[in-house]
Amino acid sequence: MQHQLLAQPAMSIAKLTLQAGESVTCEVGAMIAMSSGFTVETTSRNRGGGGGLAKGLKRMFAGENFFLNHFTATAPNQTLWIGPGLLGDVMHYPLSGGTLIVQGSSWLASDVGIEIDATWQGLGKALFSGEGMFWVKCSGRGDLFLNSFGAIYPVEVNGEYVVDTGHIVAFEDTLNFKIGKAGSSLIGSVLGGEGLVCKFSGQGKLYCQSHNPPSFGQLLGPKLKAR
Amino acid sequence: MDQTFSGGVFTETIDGGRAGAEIELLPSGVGARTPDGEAFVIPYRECQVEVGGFSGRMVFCRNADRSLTIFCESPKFAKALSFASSGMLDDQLTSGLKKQRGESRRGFAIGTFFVIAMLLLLVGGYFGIRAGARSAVLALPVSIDAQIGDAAMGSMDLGGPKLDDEVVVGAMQSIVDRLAPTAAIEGIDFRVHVVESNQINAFALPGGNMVVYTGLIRNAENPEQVAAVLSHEMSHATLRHGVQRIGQSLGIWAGVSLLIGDVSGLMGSAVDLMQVASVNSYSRAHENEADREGVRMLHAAEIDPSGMADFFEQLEEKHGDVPGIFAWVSTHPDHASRIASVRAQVAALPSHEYREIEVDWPAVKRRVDEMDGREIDQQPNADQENAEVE
Repeated sequence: MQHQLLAQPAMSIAKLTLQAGESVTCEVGAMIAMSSGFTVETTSRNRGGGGGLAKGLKRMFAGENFFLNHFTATAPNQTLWIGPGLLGDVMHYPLSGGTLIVQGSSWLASDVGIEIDATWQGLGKALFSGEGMFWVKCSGRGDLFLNSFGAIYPVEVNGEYVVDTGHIVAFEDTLNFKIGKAGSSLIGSVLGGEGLVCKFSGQGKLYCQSHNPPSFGQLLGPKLKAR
Repeated sequence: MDQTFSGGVFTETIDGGRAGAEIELLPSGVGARTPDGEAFVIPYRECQVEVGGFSGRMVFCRNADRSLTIFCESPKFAKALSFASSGMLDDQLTSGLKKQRGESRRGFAIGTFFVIAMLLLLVGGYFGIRAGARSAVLALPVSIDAQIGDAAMGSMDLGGPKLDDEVVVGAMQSIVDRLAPTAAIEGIDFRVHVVESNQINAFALPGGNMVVYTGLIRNAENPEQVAAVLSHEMSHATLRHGVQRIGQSLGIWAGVSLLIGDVSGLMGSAVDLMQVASVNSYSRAHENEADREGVRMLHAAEIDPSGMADFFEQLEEKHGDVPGIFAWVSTHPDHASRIASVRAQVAALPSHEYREIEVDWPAVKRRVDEMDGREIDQQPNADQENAEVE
């Protein structure tokens, strides 16, 4: 599978080129356009792997869809265009046996060899991290496509690093974070508009998004007409 | 011991700085082999161990200058590492695992505390508003009572035709007028309505509207006994038991709207409530309070308060087996203790010269008995039968 990311960073979409017999698993609703030589299969399982009802439900809790779409090319050089729901960036991450922890709703597509599972982040983090209650855990080998709200920028962490809640897209499982306050005092943190932050520690790559959907929603919401 | 685990390695010398690797515990140290065939080894005595990662169980082994890190998440790795290094790394492993456990416990404790605090806030807020609404109702002026009572009186089913006989109504009103100056609060205008019905019953609505059934007059031997019942009922009005009950039964939103000063919602629900449960069933505490206050009023008005207990007893003897008729006291579960407590209170009162009630009682009874002749419906109204005033 070859891939090409277009129109970055604000309106990014991914163009995937698959050869006959190759498959890719996409988030429901991610497909924008495709060649005619694809078969599409919708299930709650990982392709050829386990899963089913329980995995589907876990995915739903993590902010993803119960179902997955598997696109399989039946002819050479078939193109598939996929894109996220919100405006923002798409990134490619080659997974080589490790595990990437992805914020719920940021997973877009992956090779069929990658296992998609939801993982609980603990009560304290679930309440305060500004992300979903669950994270999507991607493990295995192959290409992984993630989307964000706004642009994505990678950070190489070795030691400690601080990210505002709601700005995390993904991080490698060699990193961990805890919730803390931005300043030395809680009142200062709240007045400074930062409130609680995620304090990362360990070594590995961290991907952040330039904007966060809840803040955008809070700005936009009051201006919308009541339905 | 030759064991392999799946893990990874961080080092500048490989492309991207990170690679997945097979981890091996070699005699010389912790070894890692990447899929590209590159091999790395960290000798045990150089190894700096840290525990972390997303799961909190990942073990990191770093070399002295931290340029090479081998990590593994396998649950058996820590134990195998301790064994392979002959206990050399145990201190670092134990303190790392302890720190991680402490952190996850701390996260759980904060989360739990937050959830409990939210629940307490919700429950506290609910009861706070309820209590606030109750005291806000009591803080309302007495004129509200009259508005509620008048509206309820105007639209409720009294269970019989209203009587406008001057002798009977006049007698009842004169008893009430004698008791009225002793009322606990000012501003209540007591008006008596007499209703033709066999029920031995009477009740007072908030604000002073009182209803006396002819059944009660027929069964009373002297005006003091009627005065006892009326003083008890007047106490419900003066102690504002009706509005207190409305305050208790207000929904949470009606409570909130009352607290921010909107009385219109209260009025609506109050009138509804008073009509439905018209002949107000009060709580046990309110009944006892009304008994005590009734005795106090009788004593203050120089009317013999022993009439109250006498009347209770007399009714029980006469009609104890006819609960529907014996409405006023029948549903009290511990009727005997009620009589006893009234007697005790009366006995404790300072001795007093009581004055008789100046009412021509035989004439009143005669008028009521005369009415018996022309009364069409001798049976108590079915709806009212169980709706007693206690």
